[in-house]
Amino acid sequence: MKQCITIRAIGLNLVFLLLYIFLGSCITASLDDFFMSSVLTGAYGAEYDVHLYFVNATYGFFLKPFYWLCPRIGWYYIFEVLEVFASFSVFTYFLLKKVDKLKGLLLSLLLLASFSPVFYFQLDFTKNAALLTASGILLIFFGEKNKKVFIVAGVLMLVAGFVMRKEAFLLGMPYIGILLLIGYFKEKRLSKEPVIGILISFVIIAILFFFNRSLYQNNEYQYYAEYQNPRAVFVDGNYYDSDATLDEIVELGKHGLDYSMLKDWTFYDTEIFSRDSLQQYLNIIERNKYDISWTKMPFAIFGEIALSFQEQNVWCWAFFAFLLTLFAKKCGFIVWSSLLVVIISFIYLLEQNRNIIYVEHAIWMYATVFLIPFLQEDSLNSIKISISNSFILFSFAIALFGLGFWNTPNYLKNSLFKEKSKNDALWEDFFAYEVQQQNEVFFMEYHPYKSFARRLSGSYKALAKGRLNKIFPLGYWNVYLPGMIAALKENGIKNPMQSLTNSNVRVIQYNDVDLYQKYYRLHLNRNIEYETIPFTSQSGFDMMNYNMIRYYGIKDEIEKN
Amino acid sequence: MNRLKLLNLLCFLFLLLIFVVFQYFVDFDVLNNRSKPWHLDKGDSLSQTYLNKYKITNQLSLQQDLVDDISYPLVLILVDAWGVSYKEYQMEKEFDFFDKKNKREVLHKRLTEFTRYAELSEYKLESMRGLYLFGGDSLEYERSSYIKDLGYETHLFCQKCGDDVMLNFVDSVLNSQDIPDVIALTTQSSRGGDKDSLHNSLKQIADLAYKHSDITFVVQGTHRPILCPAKIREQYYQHWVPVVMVNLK
Repeated sequence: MKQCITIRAIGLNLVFLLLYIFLGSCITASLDDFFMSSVLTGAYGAEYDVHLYFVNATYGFFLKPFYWLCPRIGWYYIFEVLEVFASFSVFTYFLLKKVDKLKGLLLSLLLLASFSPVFYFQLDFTKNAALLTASGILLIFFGEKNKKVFIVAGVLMLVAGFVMRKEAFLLGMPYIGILLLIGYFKEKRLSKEPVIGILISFVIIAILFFFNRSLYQNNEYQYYAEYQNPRAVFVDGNYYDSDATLDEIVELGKHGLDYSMLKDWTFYDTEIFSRDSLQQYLNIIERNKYDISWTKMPFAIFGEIALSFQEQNVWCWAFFAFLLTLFAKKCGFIVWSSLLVVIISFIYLLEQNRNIIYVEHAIWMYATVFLIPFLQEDSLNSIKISISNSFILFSFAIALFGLGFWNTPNYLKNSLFKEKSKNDALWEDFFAYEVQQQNEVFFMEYHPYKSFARRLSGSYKALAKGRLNKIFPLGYWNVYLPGMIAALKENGIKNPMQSLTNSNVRVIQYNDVDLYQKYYRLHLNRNIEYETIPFTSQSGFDMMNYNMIRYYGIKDEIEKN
Repeated sequence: MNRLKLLNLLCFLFLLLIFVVFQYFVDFDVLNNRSKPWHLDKGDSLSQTYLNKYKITNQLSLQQDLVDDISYPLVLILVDAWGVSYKEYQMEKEFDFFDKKNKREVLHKRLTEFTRYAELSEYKLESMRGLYLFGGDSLEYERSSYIKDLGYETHLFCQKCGDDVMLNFVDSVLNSQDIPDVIALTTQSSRGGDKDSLHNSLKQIADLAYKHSDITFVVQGTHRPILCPAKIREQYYQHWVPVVMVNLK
């Protein structure tokens, strides 16, 4: 019987995995994943590099043997897909175990149909971390007693959740607290197995945390890691009044250009935007933080939750919660506590003013999965499932899946569902140009760099070693990666922003050229000229205009003539 | 089904219903506006007392707004870091430094909080003879170059001169035979947000205006104090400055 549940759970999940493989574009939705996998395979530099930064280096070590066997395969991506598959299989297993055959099957279908589009099609490491953590919690707390395999699997998945992203792992921690409390009040003592499982996981997690941290200390990666936090304050931070910050900077007598460039992801200047020189701006930002209006906050939380109901997966939570409140005994508490954790998580996001959709998906997934073990078989006995009932529920599930697929951005769908964009054609031209011009180096601004990466990220394929050794960002989170610094050095470049006028440098940009002209006048006291280099017949694609520019100093021009 | 459970179920369904209905009323753009988050914004609208008591002008430069009331020669003074305090009695006190005769008290909206912006928007000259005075370095903030662009044919920078020195200089210009159409002075003693030095400067300006009761003075804040501890800054409205006009015709 149990064998049967496992097989059914996996079978059902295989259907959704296949749906994803056929309907999806098989790339990670997050470019951070793409760039981390490029770090891993040594696309900058020449070495396999486990310093993923956002993901614990353990993942890199784990993947190493696979890359050693088949270096051209995108194992980073493949294992992320497997993580989603494994987690959803665990959820389905528990649902089927708790609820009878047909009912269980229908509820699983509902769960998979509403959640899998978001988690498969919009694959990224943050959501994966939440999935793994949630399934770890289920396995540790609700696995069969006296069977070590559940605890071991649970510990492994919980640790894996931490490895993929510790912040998303932390979002699941309130549920561990609630489950421990429930266990304590039910049996008047803490049951042994879950506590041991949690403790072992936390010990391993602590070890991995400190091990990972040590990889960024007292070595060439230290500066790289130290640069991340300040960078994030400028480009991602929304918790301060940016206009007031700029005003204060100007009032202090500094030029506002640098701050605007920092905000706009243009900061790869090892002197002007060095870690130390960012501090002056960070201090000003600290003085311009928003104050939370606690009278408005409850309404904001309410509004955010209400808006969540536009996402199909929240309806799965609502349905499970409805079943629990209607049928289960003494489970009202469970529903309200899941909502409470959602509210707390939203307060945190609102305080940071960073309501990111993928974090919200993770929050609702936690809340929904938390309800699964309380959907007890006997309490649902009173529901009679007729053919018409089940047909309605089945259609509902299909509709949710359809809605989820419909809401998926086009670039994440199979190429059957999207037209080839001018964007793609432009990068094809660029690849051709790049092959011809072997000795040219390309600097890309944030927008083109991302667009380029999107085009380059191919399903199942890993970037070859050194593939990006001639293409650098003018500001992205991977700046100062030792591999990148080495590659720059190979091309004779020490300071990217101040090397724009090197004869072999081409800048692919979205901003106006006068940005760099101003920058050079301001900081280097030099006037620079430019010429646009035609490398493509495409123009004005996707509302954006990228140009390839060659800059030269006035003196250089004289030499040229 | 017992009562408690029924109540629980009703609560749940009711909440669900509210959420569903509410989503059509939530303005997504308001909630997710990165530059001005609704729930982190305590609001910058003036209190009712202020709205009733003073004339309110919006965003346009003052000269444009009050063009009919202004006569030349004119003394334009920007008092650095003079903001509109949340404490209404403080504002009243500051306005009361000035003589009551032919006076107008205005609160003016200015969205940008640096001195250069205030100077650029308030010191514009249209084919008039202007004199610009400043008690500090001409190179600092590239002041001399943008003041020249504003059309002031004469400007006088006096290194490290306090407001008293500069006001004495205005006095001597006003006593002379040849008074320019516009005399513009930006003070800076109160720049650091110190209330006492601000009041000191305001008093001196008021005295000067009293002495030359035949010449119109427009005295306004540049922005609220910002180069000061955050605690002081928070006592002032972010985007409002006081303006007082005396000796109007």
